[in-house]
Amino acid sequence: MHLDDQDLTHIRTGALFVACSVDPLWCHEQADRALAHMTSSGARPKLVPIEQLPDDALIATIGFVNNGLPLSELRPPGDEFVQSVRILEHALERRVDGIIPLAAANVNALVPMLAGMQLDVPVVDADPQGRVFPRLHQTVFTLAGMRAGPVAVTGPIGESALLTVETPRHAERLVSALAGEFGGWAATAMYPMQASDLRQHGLHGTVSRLLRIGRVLDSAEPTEHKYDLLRRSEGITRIFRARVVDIAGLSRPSAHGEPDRPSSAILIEEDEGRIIQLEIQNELLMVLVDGVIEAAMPDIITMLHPDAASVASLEDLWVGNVLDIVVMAGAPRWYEADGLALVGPEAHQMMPSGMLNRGNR
Amino acid sequence: MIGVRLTQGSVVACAVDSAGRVVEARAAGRRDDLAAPLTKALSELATHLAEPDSITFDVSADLTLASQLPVTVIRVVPRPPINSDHEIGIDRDLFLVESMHHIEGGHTAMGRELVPLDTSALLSIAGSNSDDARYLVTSVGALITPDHELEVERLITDHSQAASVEGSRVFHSSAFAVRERTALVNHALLPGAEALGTLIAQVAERVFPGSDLFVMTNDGGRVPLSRLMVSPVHSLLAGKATALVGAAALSGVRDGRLLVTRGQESFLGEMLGGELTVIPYAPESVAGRLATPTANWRDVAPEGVRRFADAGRGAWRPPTFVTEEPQAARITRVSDAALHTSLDLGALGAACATLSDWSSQFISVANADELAQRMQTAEARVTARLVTAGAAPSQTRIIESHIATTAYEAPSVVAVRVRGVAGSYPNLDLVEG
Repeated sequence: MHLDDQDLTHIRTGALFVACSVDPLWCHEQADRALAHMTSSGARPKLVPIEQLPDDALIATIGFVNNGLPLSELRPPGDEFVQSVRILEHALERRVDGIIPLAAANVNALVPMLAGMQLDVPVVDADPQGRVFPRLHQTVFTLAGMRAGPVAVTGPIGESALLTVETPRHAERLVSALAGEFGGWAATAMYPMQASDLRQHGLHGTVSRLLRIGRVLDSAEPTEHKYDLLRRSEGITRIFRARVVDIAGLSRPSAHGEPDRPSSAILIEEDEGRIIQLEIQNELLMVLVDGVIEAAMPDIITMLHPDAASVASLEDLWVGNVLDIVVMAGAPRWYEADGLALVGPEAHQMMPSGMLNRGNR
Repeated sequence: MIGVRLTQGSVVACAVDSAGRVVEARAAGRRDDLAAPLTKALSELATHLAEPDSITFDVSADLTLASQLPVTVIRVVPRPPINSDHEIGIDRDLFLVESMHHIEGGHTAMGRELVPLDTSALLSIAGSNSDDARYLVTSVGALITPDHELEVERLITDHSQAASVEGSRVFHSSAFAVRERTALVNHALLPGAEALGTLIAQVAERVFPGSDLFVMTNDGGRVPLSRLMVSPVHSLLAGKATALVGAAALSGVRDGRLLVTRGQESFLGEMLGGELTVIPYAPESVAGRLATPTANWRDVAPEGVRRFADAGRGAWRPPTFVTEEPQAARITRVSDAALHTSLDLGALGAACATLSDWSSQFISVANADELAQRMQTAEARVTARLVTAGAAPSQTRIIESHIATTAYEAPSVVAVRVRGVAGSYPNLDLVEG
């Protein structure tokens, strides 16, 4: 399907919902760039299920890796992903036939929309995270033992590199270091694979899910009706309406290799006065209610404004704000033992998995 | 203390004396002649009380954008966008942008130069512009390392007869577009703010020559009037915050939510520890998000007001309702959680507001000791500014001293936010009607 302006706006809303981003501007500005390109060129992003591509079609995963100045400060000039994909194609000696986002959430959900139009290739309705994790090796491709490389990266001043790296974990270290050296981010093209491999190992329907979620949240329906719709269609399991009463920066020791440091927010539930604690490090990692874990990565933990169910961001965690904390399950693959080891609380050095007492599944 | 609310030719002035007694004076005039009603209202109060220590003005309704004030926008970025699809848009209906230029330069979060500043391109722009040009400069990374923004300001000043060169780094946001937009709004407000500030000072000087003059800010606090002539954007959205302060003073609510209804509008705010809760940015109101600490109010539609009023059915903690009604008694307690008043909540709020000051910075620190020292320095700076503004040192309080991490950025970079206030809302002596 070809996406129109409205679809892109809904995907932006869905991408913000799934990620609970640190700064919604990253998403808004990326959507604005895509919309401006649509207007000036007449092009439309094409979203296709993997079944529409032949088995031997070459698929690349593209997305920003951030480490330094944010995208809203060090703004992308506009050709960074074209450059990275061309470098990857040159290394592989063939053209890319389709692209997927590194994460079907936050800004990276919108990256392929613009790049797909610039490269004239379709966006495949799939991704390797089904949400967003902070590190590029936290993918189902890593679980499947697939290679991340070669990895092509381009930085904000046009510098680029081709990394002939094999393992995703090593790619994470190299790309993150390069992103920092570039000044804040690296536009990456990686995980080159055949469509048959993506069909087998990828998470499918994750981009169209954003469109679905965005349509609900952008509608004029009352908040509770929107929540009912999302409970039915997207499997939301918990909603807590709570008021922020305290925020603590640098709240616990940092996990090695993570961008940013941990912080916490304390909220008081509006209904029953229970204490809700959010543990944060780049993303919302964990929710505790009266000290008991209610949700933790890989669960998707996000926030909405109660008035109109508009998507909130980490920027809204200011004392006095009333927010709806929303929990839904991540992709089932993440709840298997190796998935939890890669992206669960222990992967963020929060606590050993044996201590978890999650009652939401 | 006197508070004054200006609304395009109308003036409401409210005096609160040391015993908490409240006197109000109103005067109406022409929109283009504020001096007459302001003089009249203040003179009327002068017949009731001795010279006040302070007079605070809510000027938000009288601040207007000078949309025809031309400005040359300079963006210091490591690499310009490949085409206009990738530029930050500027609302050309609001701002008269004479020209916009991308100049190579900028710094990383760690203070490293991304690329050298392209001084020759800059000098070429300065040389081709008219002598009285006004410039607005935003540089990548300038919140932490302002060197290139400062160098642009210096070069333009040295090599042209520019009317003004303003850097956007004084506005605290990690987003380039938000800093630039805030600076553009501020720039467009300046001519009106300068004229308004001068007029206010002249009138107040005639009626109360010994009073210190202040202006309300978007966070519900007050700062010396001189700041209006430098950063009017921080007063642009003060109206609802000021009314909430008035509602808090009137109702005695120091912790809890307030729902104010004034004419056709209703809005909700929250008090915590005797001050309004504040968010670090203004909501999407004027040309998008602005980098100015703003009281955390939100508009409430009529059905929302009814829902709040039906406290028994909803899950929400009921707010205290304060309704401004010109026909009501000065204060009527409708229920435990509802007041009606004929007083102007904006003028009352301006009279009762506390002094306010902020320090917001992004800093790069090497260790915990350095971070603690930077926090102490920020708190000391806020306290010093409050004292300079007229507060007794014993009156000052640091009510927020916060370190925020910066997701997906270098772990050594943190955002520091310190909020200080001086004084507290007075206890009002009002007989209920």
